[in-house]
Amino acid sequence: MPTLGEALVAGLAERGVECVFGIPGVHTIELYRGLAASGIRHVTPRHEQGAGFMADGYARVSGKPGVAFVITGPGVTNTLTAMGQARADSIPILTISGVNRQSSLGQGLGHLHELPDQLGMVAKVALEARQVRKGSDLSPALDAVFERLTTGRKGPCHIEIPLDAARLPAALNGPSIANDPAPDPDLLDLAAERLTSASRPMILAGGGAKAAAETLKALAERLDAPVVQTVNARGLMHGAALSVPASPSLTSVRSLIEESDLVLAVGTELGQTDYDMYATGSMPRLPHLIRIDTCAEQLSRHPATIAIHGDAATCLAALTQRLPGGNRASGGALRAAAARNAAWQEIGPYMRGMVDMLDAARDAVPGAIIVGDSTQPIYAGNLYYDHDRPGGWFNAATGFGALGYGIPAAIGAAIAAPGTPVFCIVGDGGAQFSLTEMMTARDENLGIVFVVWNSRGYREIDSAMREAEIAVVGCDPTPPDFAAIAAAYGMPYSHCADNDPKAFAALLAAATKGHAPSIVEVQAPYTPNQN
Amino acid sequence: MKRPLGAQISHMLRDRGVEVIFGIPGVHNQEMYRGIEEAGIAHVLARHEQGAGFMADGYARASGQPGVAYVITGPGLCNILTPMGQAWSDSVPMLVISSCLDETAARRGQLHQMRDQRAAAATVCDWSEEARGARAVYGLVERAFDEFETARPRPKHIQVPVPVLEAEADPAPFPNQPARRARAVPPEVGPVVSLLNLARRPLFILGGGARSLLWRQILTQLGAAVMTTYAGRGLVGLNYPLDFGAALARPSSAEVIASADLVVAVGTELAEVDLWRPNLGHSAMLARVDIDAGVLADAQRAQVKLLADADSFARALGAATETARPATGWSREEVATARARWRAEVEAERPGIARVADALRAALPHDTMIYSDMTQFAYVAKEVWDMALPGHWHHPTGFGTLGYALPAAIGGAVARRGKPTLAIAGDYGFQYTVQELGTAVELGLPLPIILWDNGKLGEIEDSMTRAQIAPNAVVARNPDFVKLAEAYGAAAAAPATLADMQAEVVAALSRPWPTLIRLTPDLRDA
Ligand SMILES: Cc1ncc(C[n+]2csc(CCOP(=O)(O)OP(=O)(O)O)c2C)c(N)n1
Ligand SMILES: Cc1ncc(C[n+]2csc(CCOP(=O)(O)OP(=O)(O)O)c2C)c(N)n1
Ligand SMILES: [Mg+2]
Ligand SMILES: [Mg+2]
Repeated sequence: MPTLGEALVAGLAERGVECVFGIPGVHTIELYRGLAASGIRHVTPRHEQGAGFMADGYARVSGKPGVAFVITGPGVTNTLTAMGQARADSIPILTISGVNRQSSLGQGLGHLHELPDQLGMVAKVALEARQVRKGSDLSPALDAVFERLTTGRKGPCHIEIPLDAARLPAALNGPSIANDPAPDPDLLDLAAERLTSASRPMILAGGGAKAAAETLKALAERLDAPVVQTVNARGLMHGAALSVPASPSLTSVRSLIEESDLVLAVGTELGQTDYDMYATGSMPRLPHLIRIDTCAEQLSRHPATIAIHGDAATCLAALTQRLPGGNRASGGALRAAAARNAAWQEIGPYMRGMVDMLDAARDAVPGAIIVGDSTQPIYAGNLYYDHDRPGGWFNAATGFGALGYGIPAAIGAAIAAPGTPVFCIVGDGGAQFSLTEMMTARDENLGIVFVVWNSRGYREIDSAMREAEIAVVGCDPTPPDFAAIAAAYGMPYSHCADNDPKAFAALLAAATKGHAPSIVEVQAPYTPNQN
Repeated sequence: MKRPLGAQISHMLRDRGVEVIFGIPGVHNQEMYRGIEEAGIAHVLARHEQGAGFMADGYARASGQPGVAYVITGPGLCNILTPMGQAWSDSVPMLVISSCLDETAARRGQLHQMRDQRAAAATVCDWSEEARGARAVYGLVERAFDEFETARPRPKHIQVPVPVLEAEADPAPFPNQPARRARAVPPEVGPVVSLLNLARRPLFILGGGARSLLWRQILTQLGAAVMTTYAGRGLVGLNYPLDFGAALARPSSAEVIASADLVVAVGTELAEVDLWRPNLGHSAMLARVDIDAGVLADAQRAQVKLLADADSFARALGAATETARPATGWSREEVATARARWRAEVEAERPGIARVADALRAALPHDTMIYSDMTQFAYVAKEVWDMALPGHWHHPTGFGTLGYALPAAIGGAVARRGKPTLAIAGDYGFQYTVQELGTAVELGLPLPIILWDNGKLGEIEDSMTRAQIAPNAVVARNPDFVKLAEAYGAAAAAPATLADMQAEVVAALSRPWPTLIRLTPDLRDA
């Protein structure tokens, strides 16, 4: 019979896991006994935080859970930030770790890597955290976490194996497959009726609609409803007349929403970082709100006239079927165009300059995935940017807002979509949080262009301090010499100015041809109070 | 004078002697930053909150003063949990102050939001509390500083909601007279003295908590032998003839311990990471002295237990045994023989490292403070490297986390400007926190960094081999370390011989910025 460690790896393979991001240690070697034979690919990051963010980027692009193997204690504390980000953005990642011998747990014996209560700690962040103490615990634990990873509102999960359990014999039962509940047909009927009788409907699409691009577009056209997309929904409606790829925090987009007579919100948690990023404390008014979400708890958080519990693609298709035939023409495209224009004016010249750079990047290499950190051009794009690939624009400037996400998440994305160009846009400050993972990109020879937006400091925080009349402290970490960094990691390097979209497009197109990691540095001189 | 509470906190810390704060600002904690420079505190900007935490740890270990870190809500706090876990297991005084959100129950999707940030931090530290007003903040800070003085020092976390940080507040009250530790007074050491009077072969085991300068004198007057934990090295100085060294983890040290007719353990947990076996191995009476009642009650079952600060115990013991006749049961020869055997074992287990450690040691001033990472180089050095001074070698012992050495050494060098500091890391562990090279350059620290580059995760490869697993995922390609150091503005060298290495170390100590010194196992003797 296989050991528990080997059986766990086999159980992952049975559930379709093809890649794990892991750093082995003495406490987890048993997981590595079966790994080589399992056919699962192992990618070794340079820090467990990288492993967590890679699993996140991998999950967003592949649509499958991202898995990380980490050691007891510091391996787990190192992944907590990534779990926090995944929790905020509903991304399915699974961390698997060791833990000390069962007889020692909770006793403070000073064992290596010991924590007072590791499982309790992870449970503060994870959706589901399980300890597998014997062979027969394994299949139920895998089934339980995979249910959370594949149905409903997803998020981070954790399995830990005590040192003394890892070598026990274990057998697997076949995986049990969980599915989302089917939506309630009566509610769908009612919603279709309301949508039909509305005269100025609009749609709010969130990351939960990512896998439903075609159905969403079809429904929007039938209803002639403008579609406002949150950050995680960009790319769903590229170039469409009804598309409003702009933030609902903007006054102009809020007006579009508030002046409609019915709002259909699909797969969006209506959270602050999308709907009130300026922290005014107010949400746009959502007339006659109808919501579709895979999470019942989420549905109960905001009052809606109709709340449909179900998966976005299924619900949208079912609604479309129930509508009278033919596309309505009620000025939806005009309303969308007006909102786009007003939003473009509203974001001001500084942000528009950066969006011009993003547009140039998109048009230079169509279909690329753009992964971002918390840096100026990403904030700009989150306000207004129309990407050309569903699920192809994501970043951690929203939600948990963990700096350092960009580089490792881009690595996960590139592994999930071999052959697809990936642009990672990261500030000089954020880059230093996880620069070490450049070597992982090199190891795996991934076609990522790391765009370092170098403003020589934490510009976001510098501006905030000035605005609050605080003498600026701690916002100017001297950046490394990125050309020398590229040389140290064996990557090509090039650079351009932040106001030269043409040159930027040319560099990206050239860098993409190499099918290997490279660095493009954008020099972004900073003058306080830019707007 | 009224100020925003965030600013008052820095002033309060300054009044309690805080000179340096390690951290990273963000929009949420910017009110805390308002006060730093105004209060006359230096701020050290790390490149990742994990670096800030290890720096605070290294600073505290070097100075004996609490290390203080400022971080933001959510990811900032999560990023510092690993250093807090390390400081918890190694009893390091650290105070982490973060911002937090003020209404998380009903609202979702706020920037940096966690479900229960306070509780998450509480799992890796002594306590984690939320303060919702100025008085609560001041009370908690006072409590933290009192406890650093009186109890086993451990990390603590205080979080303050952003609007509370922004609100105007009166200054903190003037500092109280600091509390003092439980002290041993002469009558209480009586039972230990009586046992010592009868013992022929008394053995002292000194841990990192046994901080006192009196041990050499006491051991000599008692004729007692000594062993230390890794953290206790240096407590008896060099060349004490009955010093078995930091040998607790050698399996056959149990035989020596069994041959003692009295064991006195001071300031040590006798933890798994000290012994690497379940039991100490003693057969005679065990007396324990510790500041933490929990340690006295643990599974090692002492017959005599004394709750006291180690130095006060040493003073009382020294006074009570001034006229004692030294025990005569130990011989210098048996100590020398055991030490030679153990050194041979160490060299056989991980060949080729001890000679490099010896040469490195010879090149360093005796007051160099050393910070090591989880690398085979450190595992060997910790066993064969005698320390002249106590508290001069710091290792992430209990929690055992990679990436500790460089940022902790930065904290140590900041605490001891003008005195030598050295970092030792392995090629893989170094990459965990390599970006802090930028911090060291910015601060102008003359810091040699020994990089033991065996081109792999050596310790894990060995462990897989022992467990009969075909080694996998243990070799990863390395960056060009010399170029990498230069990219951050540091100096770098790759010496080919031991003598070159020594010259590089000496040069590095006098250069006003850090130097990466890459060593490979093929380093030649000459
Ligand atoms: C882990 C973590 N620490 C701190 C912050 C606060 N923070 C947000 S943006 C930022 C500055 C980012 O600087 P850079 O990456 O250079 O981007 P810029 O604004 O200069 O474009 C900081 C420190 C954060 N979001 N996450
Ligand atoms: C945060 C963390 N992750 C993983 C480990 C497990 N671990 C211990 S030593 C080691 C290998 C370190 O390699 P290197 O730094 O090159 O040192 P070497 O053993 O080769 O000297 C690993 C992965 C750990 N101790 N801490
Ligand atoms: Mg910047
Ligand atoms: Mg190595």
